[in-house]
Amino acid sequence: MGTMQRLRAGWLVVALGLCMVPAGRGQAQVNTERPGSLLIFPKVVNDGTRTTVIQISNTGNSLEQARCFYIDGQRCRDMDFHLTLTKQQPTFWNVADGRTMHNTPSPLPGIMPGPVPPVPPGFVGALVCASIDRSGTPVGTNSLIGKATLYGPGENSAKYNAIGFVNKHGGTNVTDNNVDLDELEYNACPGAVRVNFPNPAAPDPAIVAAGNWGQCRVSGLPCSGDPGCITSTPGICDVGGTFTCTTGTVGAPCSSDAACTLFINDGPCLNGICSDGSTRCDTTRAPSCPIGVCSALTGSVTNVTVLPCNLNLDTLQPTSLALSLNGTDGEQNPLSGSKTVSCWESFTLEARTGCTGGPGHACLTPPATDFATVNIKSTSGGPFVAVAETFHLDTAGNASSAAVNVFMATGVCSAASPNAGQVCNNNSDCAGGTCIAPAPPPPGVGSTIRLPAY
Amino acid sequence: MRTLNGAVGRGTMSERGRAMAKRVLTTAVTSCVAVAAVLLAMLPRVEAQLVASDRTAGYIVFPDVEVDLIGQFSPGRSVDTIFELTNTATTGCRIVHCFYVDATNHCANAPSRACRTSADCGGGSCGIFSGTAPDCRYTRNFWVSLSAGQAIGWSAGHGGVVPPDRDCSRPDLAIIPPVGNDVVIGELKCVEVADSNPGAPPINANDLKGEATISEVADGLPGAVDVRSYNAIGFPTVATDLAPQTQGAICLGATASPGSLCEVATNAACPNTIVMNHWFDFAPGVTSPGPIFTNLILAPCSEDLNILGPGISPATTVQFLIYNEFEQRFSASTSLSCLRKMQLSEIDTAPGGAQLSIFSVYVQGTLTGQTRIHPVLGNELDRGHGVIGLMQEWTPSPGGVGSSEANLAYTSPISGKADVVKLPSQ
Repeated sequence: MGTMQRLRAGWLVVALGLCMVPAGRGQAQVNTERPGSLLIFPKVVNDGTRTTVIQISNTGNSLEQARCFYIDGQRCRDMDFHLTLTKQQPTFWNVADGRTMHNTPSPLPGIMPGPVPPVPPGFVGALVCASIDRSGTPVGTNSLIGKATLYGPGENSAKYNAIGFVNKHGGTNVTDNNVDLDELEYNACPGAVRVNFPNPAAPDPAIVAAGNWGQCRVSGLPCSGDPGCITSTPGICDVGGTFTCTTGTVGAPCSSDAACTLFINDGPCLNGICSDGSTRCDTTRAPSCPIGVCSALTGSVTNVTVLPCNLNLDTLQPTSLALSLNGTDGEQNPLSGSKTVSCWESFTLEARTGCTGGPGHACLTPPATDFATVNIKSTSGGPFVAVAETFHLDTAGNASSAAVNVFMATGVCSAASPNAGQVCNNNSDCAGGTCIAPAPPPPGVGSTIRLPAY
Repeated sequence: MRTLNGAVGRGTMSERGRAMAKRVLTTAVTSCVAVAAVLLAMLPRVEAQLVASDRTAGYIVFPDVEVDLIGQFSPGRSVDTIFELTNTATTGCRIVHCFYVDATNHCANAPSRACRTSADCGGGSCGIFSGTAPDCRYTRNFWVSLSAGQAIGWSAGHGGVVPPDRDCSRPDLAIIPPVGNDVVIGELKCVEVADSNPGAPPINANDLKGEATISEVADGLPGAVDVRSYNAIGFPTVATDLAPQTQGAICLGATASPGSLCEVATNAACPNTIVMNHWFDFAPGVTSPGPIFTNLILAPCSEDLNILGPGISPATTVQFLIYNEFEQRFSASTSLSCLRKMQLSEIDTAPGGAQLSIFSVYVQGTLTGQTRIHPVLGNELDRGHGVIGLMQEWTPSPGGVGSSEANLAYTSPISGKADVVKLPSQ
């Protein structure tokens, strides 16, 4: 090989090597299952009936330091602390207690990760933890994984994984206190999230099959069928005299006590409640309410918690999001809605007629079927992360919840597609164009977590 | 000519050399742009090769299906699993083929009795037996056609009804059958296929999103409701051109050996290591008095659903590395040849000895730990030994049981060794 050929080959190798840098950066997207250098727990609660346990592990073989921030979702304030984890070290704390030398009845066993303060009673918000070096600069060994479990009331619990962002270059390109979620420093936030949810107006199928799905028409007691609404009171038959019932069906002729048993039927067992809030009705028979509509007494309510990816933890300027909700039900009927969020919010998908929205609620077209799906996308304020929790209720007042990580869309359709800008998972979703992954943050808005000076 | 601010090497280069270098640079830059364009065009498929429960996929697995309609395991409580499945494609019809795998164990001393542990068998052993009802077998399948964006749900114990769809021109309701028995522990697998004929091949598409909610309910007073949910684990296809796959099996990764069934991957590979943050068993409850226990659910990635009976999955050894909060390391191992659900503190102990387990808080001395789970890979050419998993945390209490479930974290995928899923030909 001549000099020029060697030179040409050398240049090509260098050029190809340089080419590989941006191409390779997409190999790990923001996710909930792989170690990262930035963890976000969107839902942290300590409201008196529920608390949250945070579990974080260092999956690497070197010391890991992290700077963590509780974000108070109601007042948009933050509180920070430090974690130090030795190689492979797991740690945990209950946010109601923190992790200090003053934990009762004694300090928790294990290598102290550093004092972790408790959050105040009534706290609802999020937790963000970023790997840092000794100078406080965000770095990336991509070794942290985390889980959050919401406990209470009682034995109820709901668990989800922290959302992990991979630092793309081990922190070598991070020169300031900004954690840029742009696929150059860290993974970008997802372009949209998708939530499958049961229709809140439909009865919960598991409870309908075997639980307390109804209320007796007269007494309002919980029931799971008409026999459950029939009560019996033993009676006494005056077999030595009048052969009539002295208790129970008083005065009725009888020949034994059994004939005097008084049966009261408070049924039937009805599965719905009318709009007036007191008249019980049957959702399978329409119309069964004198006024308004009949809604199922049991059901499943889905709650979505949203945290913007643009976080200014230095000036504490809240980020406002405008969210569009678009989905479909089992009959492919379109569902739509919108929601604005400032700083942080946990809201219920109110897929019902008469929804007025407001804090804690997002109105959505009522589905016609028992199950539906919705894409949630930010139209201003930049991208966001989210987690979902669904509450299941029976008519005896029992409730239980389960949390899941929401799906994150792969990207958006390229400009060449008629679906340009729409959320996509495959090229086949973008006829004439391609599904660009990952979804880039909106130009000029960016997606940055700005940390205060160390 | 030598310039002060020029590079020495450049300064010693002849004019011809500089021109050549310029051409090379131009060529390199052009090549860079071209290669970058090609790589960027490939980006979605590169990214699609990671198993994930938070992304859509063409082949999804629900590793935990629990049905106990008669309250055998929890007297007075009925257990059922509710599935939610969505076709996230923006256009077009998708045909989904789903399979139930029954992994219910039975008592050796009462083969018709389902069991979880030997305690359910009155002292007899509980395990996989090939009696009248062989354990660990593919039991029931069904097809569902879904329009773009269509979201459906059904119950494992009672089945369900799928509304008519528009894109697939199915005007009528479709019926999803129940899993078939009153007591079932198993898994459900769904794959996008070319059509609804038996033996139809999977297609290159990643449109499915699924969740499962396991509900334990009791009627009467006080009654009970306890739910736990997880996301289906997705294996995205490598290509997404909607073309039918031609390899005769779903290849989760590739085995780079001549003669192997999966020299080329059709879908993402199974994870090499699973990482789990968990409480050690017997840790005190957080908001309830009962101790906390964790069940680990592991499902083999390789399955031959043409085998009607035991042996649909190869026996696999899995190794555990456990770290406590003192950074102390412990290890254990076990094996599985089918879906296996195990209480952590019973992995390394005999019945009754759970408190002495290395997964017990009494042995570890700290309340939580990190466990790394690694399958031992074989060298067969037609199957692999990858596993996927879930964790289930539960706390017994006077009111029953409180539970939660979660997907697990993964490290890098298995490399150079494919897992093979053979779909039933009938």
